[in-house]
This record gives sequence, C-alpha cells and structure tokens, in this order.
Amino acid sequence: MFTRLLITLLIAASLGSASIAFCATEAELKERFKARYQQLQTLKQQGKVGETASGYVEAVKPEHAGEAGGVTGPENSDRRELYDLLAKQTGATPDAVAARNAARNFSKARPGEWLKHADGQWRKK
Amino acid sequence: MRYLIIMIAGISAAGCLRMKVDPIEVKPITLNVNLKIDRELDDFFDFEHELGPVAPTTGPSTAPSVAVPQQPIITTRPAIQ
Repeated sequence: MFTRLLITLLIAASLGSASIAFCATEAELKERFKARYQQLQTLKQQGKVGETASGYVEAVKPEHAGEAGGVTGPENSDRRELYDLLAKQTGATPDAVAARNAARNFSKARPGEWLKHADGQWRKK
Repeated sequence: MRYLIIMIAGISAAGCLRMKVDPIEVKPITLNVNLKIDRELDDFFDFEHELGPVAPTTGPSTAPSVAVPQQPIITTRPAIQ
C-alpha cells in the first residue's frame, strides 16, 4: 500500500512539474516579446521594418537588413515558437495562427508604417 | 385506354411525391477556430496596451519632410492724429 501511495505521489509530482515548465515557457516567451516591443515599434515608425502577410517582420529595404536583423531575427524566431504553441492550444495549424496574427498586426499598424502584402509588395498604411 | 389512364394517374401521383432530404449541416468550424486564435493572440499580446504606443522618434525617417509655412508678421498702423 505504501508503494502504491509512493508511486501515485511520484506521478502527481511529475505531472505538476511538467505543467509548471509549460507555463514558464509561455511566460518566458512573453517576456522576450515585451523586451523587444519598444525597439520594434521604433523601427516600424522609422520605416525600416514592416509586418508581412505571413505573420513575420522583415526589413523594408535591403540596406536596413543589417540594422534591423538584430531585432527581426529573434522576433521571428519567437513568433514561430508562439505560433506552434497556440496551434497546439487551439487545434489549428501554425500557418493559420500566423495568418491571423498578420491580419491582427495589419489592422493595428499605425499610418505610415510599411506592410508587405500577400502579393509581395510593400505598401504604406 | 385503361392502361393509358392508369399510366397518366401514375405519372400524376409521382409528381406529388416529395423526397425528403436531410439538411446539410455546415458546422462553422473554421469560424470558431479563428475566434479562438484571435482571443489567444489578444490575451498573449495584452502587454501592448500596458506599454502603450511608442512616441515618434526624431531620427532619420523615410517619410518626406513637410515644410511648415511661416506665420505672417502682423503690424498695427499708428493712429492718425
């Protein structure tokens, strides 16, 4: 009986730690987005970075790629991770989540910010 | 003649028959998933409301600069005595 109780406790502890790890990952992801938010918005307002229809950010012109790469690289990497996470939570595909986030960012974009549409063309909002 | 009447009656009766077809249910699965995704995204990015919009920078911008017209200098005429 003691062995059964011990096994039950061990299983409960492992499940608990797994759930905590999952929450910590999402919280860490959110912190990374928050840390980059101001810098990303500044680059958008300067016209160096824009949102794309695929749900990621890109440098508007090749000459801005070097300066913007320090932000767009980690941002896109974290977005990919977020889309995978939300896809599992909602039962959708990561591409579907990315498309919805793209639509969301397009609607939230401020006038003057560059947006790369599905046809590959950059247009100012 | 009898067979003709029976045939006409049969055809007329067939016209009164109604086929019952179960309505096709189109479940709004895509719509529900999109709403769920939108809600999850809004919850995740709630910090954007907390941080607020970033103030426009005075750094180099690709937007064309607009010249502000100078206000005309208005002078008053001295009173004629």
